[in-house]
Amino acid sequence: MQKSIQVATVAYKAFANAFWIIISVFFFIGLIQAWVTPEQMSRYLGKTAGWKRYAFASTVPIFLGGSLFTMFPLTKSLKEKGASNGAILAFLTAWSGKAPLLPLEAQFLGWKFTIIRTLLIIPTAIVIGILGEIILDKWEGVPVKVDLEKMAEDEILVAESVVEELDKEYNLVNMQSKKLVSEAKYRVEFTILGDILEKNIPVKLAELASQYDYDLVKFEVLAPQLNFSSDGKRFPSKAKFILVTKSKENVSEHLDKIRNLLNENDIKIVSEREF
Amino acid sequence: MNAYIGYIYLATAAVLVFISYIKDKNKTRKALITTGKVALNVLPVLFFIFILMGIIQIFVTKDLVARWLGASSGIWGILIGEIVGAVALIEPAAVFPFSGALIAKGASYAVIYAFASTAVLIGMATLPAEIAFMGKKFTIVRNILSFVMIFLIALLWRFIM
Repeated sequence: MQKSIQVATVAYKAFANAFWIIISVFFFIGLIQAWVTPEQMSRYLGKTAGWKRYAFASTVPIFLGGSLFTMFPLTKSLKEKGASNGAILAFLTAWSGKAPLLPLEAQFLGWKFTIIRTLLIIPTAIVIGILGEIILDKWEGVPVKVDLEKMAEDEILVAESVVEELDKEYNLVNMQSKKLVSEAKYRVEFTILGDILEKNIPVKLAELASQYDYDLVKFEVLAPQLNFSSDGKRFPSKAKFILVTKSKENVSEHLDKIRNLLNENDIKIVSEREF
Repeated sequence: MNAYIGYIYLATAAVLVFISYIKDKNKTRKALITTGKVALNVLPVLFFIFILMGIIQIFVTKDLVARWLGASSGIWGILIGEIVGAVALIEPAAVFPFSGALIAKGASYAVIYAFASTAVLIGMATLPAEIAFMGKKFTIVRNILSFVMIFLIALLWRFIM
């Protein structure tokens, strides 16, 4: 009983001593999170390069608040925007500096420990960044630098084999689709216009077809979208495909479903030709 | 001195909030909301941490702490500190009071450095999120490298403090 009172006394004294420090730390955290958002940091990290990037990634995150959970979505978007693994590792490591908590740390562990620990963060972040990048690049595999001649040679070899492979496949598919078309009781040729490849229309149509008893053949994209207009918008591409079925049952239903799918994806049907 | 330092921080915080309010009311509102949220999250944890501090102070003997976490504990003490820090689900704000209690009982700064560093940098609880966002390889490399680096630096603390 006496011991538990002692426990309570110690806890209360420590709490009372630190109370206003804790409260001020809460305000520091709030202010820093409102004024310095991780997004601003990442925008800056994206702009700098080379040693400056390391210098930035190993120091500035020390002042950030937030928990690890909130950092990962940010570092993911950093990586997608092209930041190197090293910079991201340094960024995450430096973030453990926790500057808003420094008053609290100093209260319980002393200023000497606090300052040394915080300063040590910088070299730690740089070393983890550099070593981690070396390891990850080996492990994940980055594009290997090869001299141009050799690359050209390899590319020709690869290209030839790919063409051969595609030829075989195309001929096979071609024969099958010819057979399907000639055997079919009902065929409609669709011509459509829109963001066909971006919206994955071929796959969506194939999925639809696989649920029912009809086939979609001879899918051709007539104008692949490689062109960009001056305002950055893509030109829509055109595609053709033929719906074939062996029985005339439910044909109108199938057609409606296809039209709906195209409609949902903002694809225009240019023509529907029965033959 | 110790009694006043809290008021100095509080005054600093008040001045900063005031400046912030003059510059941008909206951001200040956000800041105060964050402050409230953090306080609500952290204060209950701190309550238990301070009780824990009391328990350590009263029930745990200096010999015990010195043997396991003191300067003579060597690499094992550092490893214990690191592993506890990595496994424990602990708020960063709660790390320091808890560490302070251990220091008072004779834990070495090297061990406390190891514990405090892994507590913020490595988290068993955050591993799934890290794998989901950054990938398995990144997660493994980051956590193991951090663990090793913290261990090596902790060895140096003997010469620092």
